[in-house]
Amino acid sequence: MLRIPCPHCGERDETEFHYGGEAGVDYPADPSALDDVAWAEYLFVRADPAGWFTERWCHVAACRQWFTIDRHTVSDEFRPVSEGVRA
Amino acid sequence: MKPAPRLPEHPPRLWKDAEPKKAYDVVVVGGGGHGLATAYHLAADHGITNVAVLEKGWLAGGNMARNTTIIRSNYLWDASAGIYEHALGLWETLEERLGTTVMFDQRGVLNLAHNLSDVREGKRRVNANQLNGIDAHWLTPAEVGKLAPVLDVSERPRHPVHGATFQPRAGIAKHDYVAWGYARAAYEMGVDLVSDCEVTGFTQAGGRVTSVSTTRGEISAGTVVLCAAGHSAVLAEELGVRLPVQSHPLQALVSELLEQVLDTVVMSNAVHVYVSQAHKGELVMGAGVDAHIGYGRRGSFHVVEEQMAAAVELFPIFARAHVLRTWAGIVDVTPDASPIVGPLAAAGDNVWINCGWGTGGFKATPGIGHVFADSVAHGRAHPLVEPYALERFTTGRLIDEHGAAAVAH
Amino acid sequence: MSRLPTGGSRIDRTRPLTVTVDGVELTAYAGDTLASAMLANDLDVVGAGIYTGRPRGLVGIGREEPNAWVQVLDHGGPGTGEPMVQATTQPAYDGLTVERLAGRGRLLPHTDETRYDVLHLHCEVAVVGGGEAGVAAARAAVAAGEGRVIVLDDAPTAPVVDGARCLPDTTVVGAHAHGRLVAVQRLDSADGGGARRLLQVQARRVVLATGSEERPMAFPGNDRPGVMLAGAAAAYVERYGVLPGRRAVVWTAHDGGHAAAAALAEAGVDVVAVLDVRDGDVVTGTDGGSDTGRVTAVHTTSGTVEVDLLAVSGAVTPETRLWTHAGGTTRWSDDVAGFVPDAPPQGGRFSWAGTERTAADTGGRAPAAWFCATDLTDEQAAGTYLDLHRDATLADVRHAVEAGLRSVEHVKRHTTIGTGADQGRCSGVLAAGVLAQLLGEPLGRVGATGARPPLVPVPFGLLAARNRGVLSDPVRVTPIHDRVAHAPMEDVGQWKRPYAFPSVDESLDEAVVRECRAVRTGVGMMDASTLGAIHLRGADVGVLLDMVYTNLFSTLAVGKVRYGVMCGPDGMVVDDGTTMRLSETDWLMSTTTGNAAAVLDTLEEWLLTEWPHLDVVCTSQTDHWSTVAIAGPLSRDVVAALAPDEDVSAEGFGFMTHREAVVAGMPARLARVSFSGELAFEVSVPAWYGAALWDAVAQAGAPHGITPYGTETMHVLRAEKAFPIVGQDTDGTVTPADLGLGWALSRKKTDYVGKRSHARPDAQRPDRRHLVGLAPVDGTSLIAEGSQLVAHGADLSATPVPMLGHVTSAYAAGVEGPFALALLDGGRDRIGEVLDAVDDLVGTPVRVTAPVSYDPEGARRDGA
Repeated sequence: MLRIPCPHCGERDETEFHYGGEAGVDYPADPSALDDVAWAEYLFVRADPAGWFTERWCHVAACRQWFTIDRHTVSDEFRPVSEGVRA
Repeated sequence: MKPAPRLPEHPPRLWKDAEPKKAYDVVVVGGGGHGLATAYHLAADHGITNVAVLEKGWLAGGNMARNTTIIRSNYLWDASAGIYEHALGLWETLEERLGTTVMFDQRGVLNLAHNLSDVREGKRRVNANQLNGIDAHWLTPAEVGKLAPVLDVSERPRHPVHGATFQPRAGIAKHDYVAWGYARAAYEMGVDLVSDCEVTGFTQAGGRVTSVSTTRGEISAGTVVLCAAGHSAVLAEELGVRLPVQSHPLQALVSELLEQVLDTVVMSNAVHVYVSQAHKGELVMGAGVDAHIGYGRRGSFHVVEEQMAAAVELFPIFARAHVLRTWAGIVDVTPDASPIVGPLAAAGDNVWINCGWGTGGFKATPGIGHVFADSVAHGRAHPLVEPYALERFTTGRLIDEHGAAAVAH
Repeated sequence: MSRLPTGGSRIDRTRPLTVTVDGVELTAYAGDTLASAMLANDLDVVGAGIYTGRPRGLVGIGREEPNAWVQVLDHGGPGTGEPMVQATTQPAYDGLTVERLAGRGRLLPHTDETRYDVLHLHCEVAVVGGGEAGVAAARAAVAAGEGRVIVLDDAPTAPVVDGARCLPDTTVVGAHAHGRLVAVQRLDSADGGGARRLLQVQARRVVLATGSEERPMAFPGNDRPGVMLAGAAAAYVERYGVLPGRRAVVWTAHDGGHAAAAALAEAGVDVVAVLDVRDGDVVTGTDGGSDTGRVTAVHTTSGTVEVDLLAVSGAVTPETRLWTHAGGTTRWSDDVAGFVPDAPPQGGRFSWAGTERTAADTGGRAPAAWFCATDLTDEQAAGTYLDLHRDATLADVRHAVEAGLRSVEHVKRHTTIGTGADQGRCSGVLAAGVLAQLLGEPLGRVGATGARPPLVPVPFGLLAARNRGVLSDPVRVTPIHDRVAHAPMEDVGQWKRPYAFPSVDESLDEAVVRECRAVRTGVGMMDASTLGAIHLRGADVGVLLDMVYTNLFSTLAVGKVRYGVMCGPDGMVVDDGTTMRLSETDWLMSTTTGNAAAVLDTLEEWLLTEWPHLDVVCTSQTDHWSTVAIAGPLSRDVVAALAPDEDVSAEGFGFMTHREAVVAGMPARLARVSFSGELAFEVSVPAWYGAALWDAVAQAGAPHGITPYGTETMHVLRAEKAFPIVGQDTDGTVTPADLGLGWALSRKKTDYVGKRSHARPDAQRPDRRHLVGLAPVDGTSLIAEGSQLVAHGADLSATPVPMLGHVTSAYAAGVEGPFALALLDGGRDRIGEVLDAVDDLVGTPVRVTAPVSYDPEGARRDGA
């Protein structure tokens, strides 16, 4: 059971959250301008590192806010997110 | 106090770990079932024996040692039915081929339906299976109850059993016997099996990968074959390629050894149960995939708790069985729940990848070993793996096995 | 009897009791374990080898016990027996009835109705283990004012630590990331039964003070009854006042064995020799009696001694399993001849507290890391058990190594050593040590196999806890449910919905025919409250809807309703429904029943992460409204009677409009939407008026013969109009265009979610699967849902038979008779073709039709 530090509610059980995967993958400003390869990249390709990873969670069972946080995908430790990455 | 029958003996000689040489015609990265089976078929079918299988831990110690060993081919889509049925056919003759026992036990697999939607999808899949030449039937709850008397097919459970698909030729095997059988056979043909040898990088030149860097030195490679399951994305990243795979923890568990009560494999997607009783007598159960990615080989315990609730709901007599051991593997999941198999051209002309099997890789082992080796040996994708090219994510021609045929693997 | 006249710190001699083992009654005292009762009653054989069937005796006193497994027949209630428990951890209570096992459990054919509870505890500091180290850690935490301190101790009596809560009989079975402990608390150790509860402990900091465990040494003939761990033998005296033997040899590799020998001697055991491997003394074999095989003599390097007890102690080492569960590492220590905690788990929440004293601390001799003699013959090796529970011997390990295996994990799997229900406590390090000897490698390099949760076996039912029956998944019903509960129900997600309303002399199919006819020719009513309702408020709702629906919504006028299709970014249909505009800034979206929560989540995700600048607030209102659909050519008359103040004429109340109204005296929203193609209305009232609304509609409709209908009739009616059901006619691989909803793909909008994917090559293929209609060629045959479509007359035995599509929905009760909807390769170009719909290898000839099979011109929506 991960204990996830919600920035609004504090540390809570993982079961209160939805996982959102890699953070910082913006919806393209103009999808029609992307070729099929770039669009497929947006749709399907996400980082999958063994190590620190900036990811998104939504605290669905409480404040329902999305936030980003760094988690180490091997040890499951959390740390505050690196600067400049948004959900 | 009645003694139990012993499992079959392993062969007196298995394999000896090799010291890595400086160069190989083919370097297979990943010493799991798929890597070993691929190496075996490269040697056995194509005479390619200057092959190394590099394993970062102990041979077949990843998902091969951690899966619940269910073997079936009753998939919905033609592409899936093709590869899994090819594998099932090879399972049926694997002992003769390898010369060792693999304890493939065709006890059948039930996929339960718990609502009208499940029934529709189950029948759709049975019909597709039958037309693809795959043995499959639809069973009523009463027929299900005959096959699995400890399963509660009454109206009592929260999600009662409305019927099931049944594939009689499906079953289970003993994973160590399988992995070691391949390892032994490959070893005897001259394949080098190298344990404790982690790949840390690749050298690329002239549109090819020329060598593999490992914790046991640099190894030149004529062809590089990636069979690294949950670590595929990490390896691909080293090659400068981003794959549409995500590595998730997948948990499983066993009970203590119990006298036989369950003679078939029972799977339920709707209530997240899959269970068989292994040869020694333990109940082997798969839990769900954790939602988040993770490489810690450690899942969240609440997933196991949910799994137990589902199991006891369907199998009330399991309530007092005990969870003896839980563990996790790392499964590489693709957006369409189907594997990625084929050349990895973006990494080099001589690089092949086989990954993305998610929770379903074990059952494919003989089949993918055969056709992947064939693909590598001939330098083109075997027809059975053609649909699994990475390009499908660009064209949109996915093989979506969780949309419709959503059966827990 | 081997019970001493006095002594026994854990037993209450004023409370005698009887337990029954294989039909033999044993006398015991409250506080005994089943094992101490067996020992007190001289029951030498406590189990048998799983494969050899050899008689086995008690080895240990706690969860390290490899031999004493019993099936509990009944803990006091049906289904309360247990297939396999350790006699050493099972409290004895009056009436306990067990059968001994040969290493394999036996499930009882009963349903366990026991209710298991979960207790959630939150604390700053959790201390696992109530021994010396644990108590010291707890006191320190209290003294430092760290907050709430909990001590979890598996002994029947917990220590007392002022300022801390101490829980006895509590075994922590899992130590997980982020300070989560899962524990089992026995609620009945004095009074029997199997009552337990699960504890979920969340701690900011965890101190693992899990103490130590003793391991044996192996030698030929070591599986005889009467061969015990020395520390366990002494502890039986101290805890239970039971003598494990009369005449003993103690064989040890460390100073602790000598202490155990002294304790045994003090209790009256005739300790004839204390042998120490550090002095070169090695046990080389045993003799046993002809009855139970109990040891009668011990052969050693210094001679043979006649005894009835051989007490062995290889080492006492830290119990590090929870430490490794949590992610801590261990290293081999020569100082204690065992693995000890090394790097702590990452995250800083776990620490180790131990009071182990090395020889250097005590001024004694260093222990010897001794596992098994290296010079045993094959015959001796085959009788040298490394894992008694798994009946695995030195010979087995030799075979594995001879086969080429080097990894301790491989050898474990080859021999199955350490995989038993005792979690390999007596065997794991022993086997690793033997492997190291055979490979000529240091044990530190060979390593130990990993420990995996749980620490001890835990019943499935306990982990399932309260999540059984209806609590395993909530059941949702609408406020109208009581009015329709007599009907057979269909599960739709968590909802219960009436499938149909058969009368007493009607089959389900007949009821559906009747209900369909009522709606097509008269009027029907249905509880539509389960459909998802999401209220959207803000200046930018139109902008949001233009993105999440494929068609245009921002132009929708107040008072109007529009149907929309939603896709995922991959272009596949995920949901559909109607959305009405209530005011300039208020909209009400309806979703499918099953997807309500997912759609809300998706809307909020877009709003919060991609378009935070949009002024939109979403509120789930599914539970706020009770909705009754009134459908059929006579529905206008019914609504007119219910809402006499409203103009419900075709001109006065147009199709796809809505309004506030008073319906049967209730505040209501009336909408003219139709899921059947017929003239239809939906009436929504605040949820708590649901039953009153149902009654009012039934009453107002009575003169017109209003007929309640269920989900199946709804499906037939919509299918005749080819309104797709998401999840039935779609499966995650279907685009709106595939469904014939190309008209709903806006070309005016520069973007909507899924638009780019619709331009991908595969979405453009002309031979994609299209939604079409099917009719049986003979006009009467039923088409089965899930049938696969193949060429007409295809040889079904010539597999693989090319499949062209499949039947998504099929019904007997169409206006024209049986019909179906199907997804068919290039289907819109095949209309008129004949195919075979194959179900269970029987083909039914079907003609491909346009998907809409009823009233294609839409003439009926304003009434007949």
